[in-house]
Amino acid sequence: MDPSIEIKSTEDRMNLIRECIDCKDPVGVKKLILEDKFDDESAHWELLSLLGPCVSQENLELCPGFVDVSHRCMNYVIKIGKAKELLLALLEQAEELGDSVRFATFLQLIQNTILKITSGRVGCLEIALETLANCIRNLELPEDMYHEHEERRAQDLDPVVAKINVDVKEYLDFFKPFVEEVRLDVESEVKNCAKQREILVKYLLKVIDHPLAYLDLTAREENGLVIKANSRLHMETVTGYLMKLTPNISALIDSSNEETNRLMRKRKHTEMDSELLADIPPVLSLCCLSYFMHVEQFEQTSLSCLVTKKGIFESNMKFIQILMLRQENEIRRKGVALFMTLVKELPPGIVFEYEDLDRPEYFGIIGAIFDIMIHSPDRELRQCCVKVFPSFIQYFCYEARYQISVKLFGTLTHAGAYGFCVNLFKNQMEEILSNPEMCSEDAEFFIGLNLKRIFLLICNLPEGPATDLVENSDRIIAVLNLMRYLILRDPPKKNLTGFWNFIKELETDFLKPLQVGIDMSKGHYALEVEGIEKGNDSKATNEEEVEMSVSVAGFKMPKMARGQKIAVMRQALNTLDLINSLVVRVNELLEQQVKEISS
Amino acid sequence: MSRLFDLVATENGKNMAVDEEVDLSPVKLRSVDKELKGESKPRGIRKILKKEGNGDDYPNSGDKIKIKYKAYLGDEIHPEYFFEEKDLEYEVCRGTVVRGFEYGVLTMKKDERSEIYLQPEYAYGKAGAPPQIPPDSQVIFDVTLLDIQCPDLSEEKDRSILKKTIVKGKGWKEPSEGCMIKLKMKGWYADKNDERVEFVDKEVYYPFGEGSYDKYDVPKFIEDQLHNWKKKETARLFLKSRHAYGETGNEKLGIPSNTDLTYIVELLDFEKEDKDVWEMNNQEKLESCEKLREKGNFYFKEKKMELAYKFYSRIVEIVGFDLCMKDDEEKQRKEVLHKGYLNLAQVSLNLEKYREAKDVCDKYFMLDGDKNNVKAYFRRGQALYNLQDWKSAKSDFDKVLEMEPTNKLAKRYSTDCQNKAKETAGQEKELAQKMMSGFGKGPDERLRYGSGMNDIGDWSNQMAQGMMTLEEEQAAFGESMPERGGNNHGVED
Repeated sequence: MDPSIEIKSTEDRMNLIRECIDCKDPVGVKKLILEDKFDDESAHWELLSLLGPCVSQENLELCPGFVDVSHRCMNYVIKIGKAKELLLALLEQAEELGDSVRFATFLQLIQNTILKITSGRVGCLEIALETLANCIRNLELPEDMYHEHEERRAQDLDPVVAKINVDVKEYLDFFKPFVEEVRLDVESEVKNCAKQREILVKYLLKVIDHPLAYLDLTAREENGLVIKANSRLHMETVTGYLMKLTPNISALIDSSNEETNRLMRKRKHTEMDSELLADIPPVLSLCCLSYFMHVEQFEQTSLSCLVTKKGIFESNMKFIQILMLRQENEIRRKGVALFMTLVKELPPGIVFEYEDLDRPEYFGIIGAIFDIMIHSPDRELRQCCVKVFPSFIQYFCYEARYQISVKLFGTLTHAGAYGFCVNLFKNQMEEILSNPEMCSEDAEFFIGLNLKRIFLLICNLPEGPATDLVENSDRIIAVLNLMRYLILRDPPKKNLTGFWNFIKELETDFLKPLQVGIDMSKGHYALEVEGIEKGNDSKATNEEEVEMSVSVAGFKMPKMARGQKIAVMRQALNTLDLINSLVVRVNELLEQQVKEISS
Repeated sequence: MSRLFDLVATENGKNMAVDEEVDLSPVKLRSVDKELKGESKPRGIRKILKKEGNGDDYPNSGDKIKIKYKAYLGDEIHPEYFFEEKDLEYEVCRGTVVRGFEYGVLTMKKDERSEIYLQPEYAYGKAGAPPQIPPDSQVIFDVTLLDIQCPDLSEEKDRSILKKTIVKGKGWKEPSEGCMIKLKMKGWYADKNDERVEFVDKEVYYPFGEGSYDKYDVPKFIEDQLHNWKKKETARLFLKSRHAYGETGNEKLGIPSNTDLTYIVELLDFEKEDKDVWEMNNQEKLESCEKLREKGNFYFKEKKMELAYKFYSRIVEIVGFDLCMKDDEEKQRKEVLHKGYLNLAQVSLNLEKYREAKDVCDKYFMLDGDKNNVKAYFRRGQALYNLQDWKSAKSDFDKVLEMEPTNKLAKRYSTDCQNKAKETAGQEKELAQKMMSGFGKGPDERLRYGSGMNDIGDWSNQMAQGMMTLEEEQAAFGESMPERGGNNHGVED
C-alpha cells in the first residue's frame, strides 16, 4: 500500500483494508488499523468479518506475519469495541470453524470478549458455549480401533485424534477463567454464580459425551512410568473443573441421572419438543464419569463410607449396560472394565436375589457380555468377558442362578457360548453334589424335575438326527460331558439329583438320534473326502456343485485348494469321532452303572 | 443377608423417648441367635435416641434425605475410634447404603439425632471395607436427619405434585400401557372450613391407559403418575388444582373449582408377562395363569368373548402340557387347568365353537376333572346338542339331572334331544350319521375350516337358533350371573 494516500472517510479506509486483506499485506493492515488507531464503531462488525477468515492454517503456512497481524487487529477491535455486539460477530463466524488454528484464535477472542462483558454475562457465556460446543460436537471421531496392549499407545498418532486433542485442549482452556470465577471453595463475586456453574457443568458433560468417551482414558504403568494418552489428560482437566463446580462427582452423577430418567420418561409418554431434548444430560458422559471414578480411581475419597459396594454396583448397572451395548470398541471396553472392577470389589457373602432378576439391567448386561464374548473382534475384551461371567453369577442366589441358566439355554444360539454355559452348569452341579450340607432348599433348584427341565433344553436336537452336528459340536460335547459327569458322580444307587429318573427319555430322545446323526454325517463327510481325493478331475470341472453340497459348521465352503478342502473335512470327521467316542463312553458308563445296581 | 424388598421401617424404632434404647434387627441372624442363647450379647441393630425430631413423617421409598453423621468403630463411642464425618444426601430404600444404617434412619424424623450401633452382619460384614474399616467390625453412627424430601413430580418443580410413599412397592416390574391393572383409590379435598371432604373411594380393575373412560373413571392425572409404580405400592398423592380438575372442578364428584386434591392410591396388582413360558418357574406359571383367568373373567363380564377366549386358552397353553410340576404344584396346576377348561368351554359355547367346547370338556374329564361336576356335563351337553349329536347330548343332560333333579333347563334339553333323535330318524339321520362318523377319529376336516356347519345350506340348524342366549339362560335358572363362581353356568372363580 502506498503510505502517501490520504484517507478521508471511513469508507475509503475500509476499501483500503479490503484491498490489503485481498493481497495479504500485513504491513498495510497494521498501518490502517493499529497504527492509525482506527476506532469507528460502525465498522467493527465488518472488520471482524473481514479479518476473521484471514486466520487459518493455510495462511499461517503461507504468511505467518499476516495471520499474526489479523489476530492482533481483532484483539484491538475487541478491546475498544462494544463487547456484546462483537461477541455476536465472532459467534457468527464461529459457527463454521475449520482448522485448529482458526478455532484456537477464535476461542481466545471469544473468551476475551466475554470477560469484558459486565452485565448479563452468564447469558452470553451460554450462547457462546452453545456455538462452540457445536463445533466440538462436529469433530470427526477416529475409526473404531482394536489396538491391544502396546498398540494402544499409538492412538495419539492418528491425525483425527491429534486434531481432537488440539481442539479439545483449546476448548478446555476456554473454560478455565469462567470455572475459576465461580469455584465452590472461593467466595465468588460473580452474579448468578449458581447459574454459571450449572451452564459450565452442562457443557463440560457434553465434552465427555463427544469426543472423550470415544477415546482412551486409561493410565498404564510401564517400567515405573505412568503413561497417559492426551485424551486421558483432557478427562482429568474436565473432572478437575467439575470438582470445582460441584460438591462431589457421585452426587453430580446421581442427580444428572435422575434428571435424564425423568425427561426420558416424559418423552416416552408425551410429545416433547426438541428444545427439552437438548437439555437431557448426556447419559454417555455420566457413564464415563462413573467409569473414571471407579475404574481409574479418580476422586474416590469423596465417597461416603456408608455407601456399600453392592449399592455402588446396583446404581452403576444402568451405566454398565449402556456402555456395553454400544458398538464402539473403546466404549465397550470401558463398560467391561467398569463391570469387572465393580464385580471384583463386591465383598463375599453378597447375594443377588431371584426377584432382582426382574430388573431389566441384569439380563441386559448378561446379554451384552455374551454378545461381546461371541462377536467382539477384540481378543482381550472377549477374554475379559469369559473370565468375569462365572464370578459374576456366583453372586446370585441358587434360584436366580438356575433361572439364568434356563434363560441362557433357551436363548443362546452360538454353540461355543452354549458349551461354555453347559460347562458352568456342570461346575454348579459339582458345587451342589460336593456340598451335602447345603440347604436342601437351595439344592432343590438343580435336581429332580428342575434338572430335567434343563436337560430338555440342552439336549434339543432341532432337526433330530439330521441336525448339523459339526456346527453344534461344542454344545453337544459339553452336554455329553455333563452327562458323563453325572453318571459317574451320582450313581443310580444314590440318585441324589434324580438324573436317573429320566435317563430313558434322554436315551431315546438324545443319545439314539445322536448316534444315528453321527453315522450319517460321518458317512457323508467320508464320501466327500473320497470323492475329492479320487475324482479330482471330474470335480475340477464341476467345482460349483461341490460348493453347493458341502457345508461345514453352517458355512458354505469357499473356493479353496483341494488339500485344504480335505483338511477341513478331515477336521470335521475328527470332531465327529470325538463326539462318537463320548457317546460310546456315556452309553458304556450307563450300562456299567445299571449292571452294578442289578448285581 | 435379607432382601432389599424387606427394607421396611420397624415400628418399635418410632416414637422413642430420649435416651431409650431399642433393637431394630428385622430378623434374628443365625450367628446372632447363637450368641443370644448364651448371654445377652449386643444385638444386630441398636438405636439410642439422643434428640427428638419434628413432624409426622418418616423417610420412605422415593424420599431423599439429607443427613449428617459421625462414624466410629467399636461398640461404644470413643473419640479415638472416630473415622469419618460427612454430610450425605441420598434416596432411601434403594440399598445404596449400609443396611443396618438404613433400618435405623427409616425410623427417624426430621431433626432427630440418634446413635445407631451395628453388628458386622448389618454393617460391613466379615470382609469389612478396607482400609477404613477392618474385617468383622462393629460400627457406630451418630446421625442427625437434616431433611426429608418427598419426590416432586411436577414439571415446574414447584411442589405442585407430591408423592409420599406409604408402602414400598415390591420387585422391579412396572405396569405398561394396556395391561390389566387393579387399583384402590381414595381421594379427598379440604373445604373452606378445612374439613376433609371425601369424594372417591373405590377399587377398579381395568386396562391401564383407558382409565379416563367413564366406566372406570380413573383420572388421567392420576394415571400419568403410575407408570413407574411397583406392585403393592401405596402412596399419597397431592395435586394442586391446576394439575387436577382445575378451574372447572368436577360436577359429578362434587369438586368445586380450584381445589387441591389428595389421593391415596394403592396399586394392588397388575398383570405383566414379560417372560416366555419356558423362562418362568412353576410358581410364576401358576401366578400368570391366575392373572389370565382374572383377565378372562373381566372380558367375559364385559361380553367380549373373543378376548376372554384368548386369555382362557392361554392358560391351557401355559400349564396344559407342563411335566415339571409335582405335589402341591401339580395339584394347583390341575386346579387352574380345570377352571380354565370349564371357562373355556363356556366361552366357546358363546362363540358357537361347539366342537371345541366339547373337546375342552372331554379334556377336563381326562385330566382327573371332578366326575360330578354339573357344569362340565351341562356344557358338554350343550355343545353336543348344537353339534346335533342328540344321543350323547341327552346322556350328558341326564347326568346333570341325576345330580340336580330340579334343573329345569337340563330337563328341557333332555326331552328336546329325545324328540330330535326321533325326528332325525329318517333321511337326515343318515346324513347326520355320515357326518358324525368322523367324530372321535380325530378332527373333522369339514369342521376345521371355519364354521362349515352353518354355511352348508341344507343344514337347518334350528335348534341352535332356538338355543338360549347367555342372558336367557341366566333367567331360566332364576339367577343372575354372579360376580364370582358358585353358579353352574357362570365362570369359575
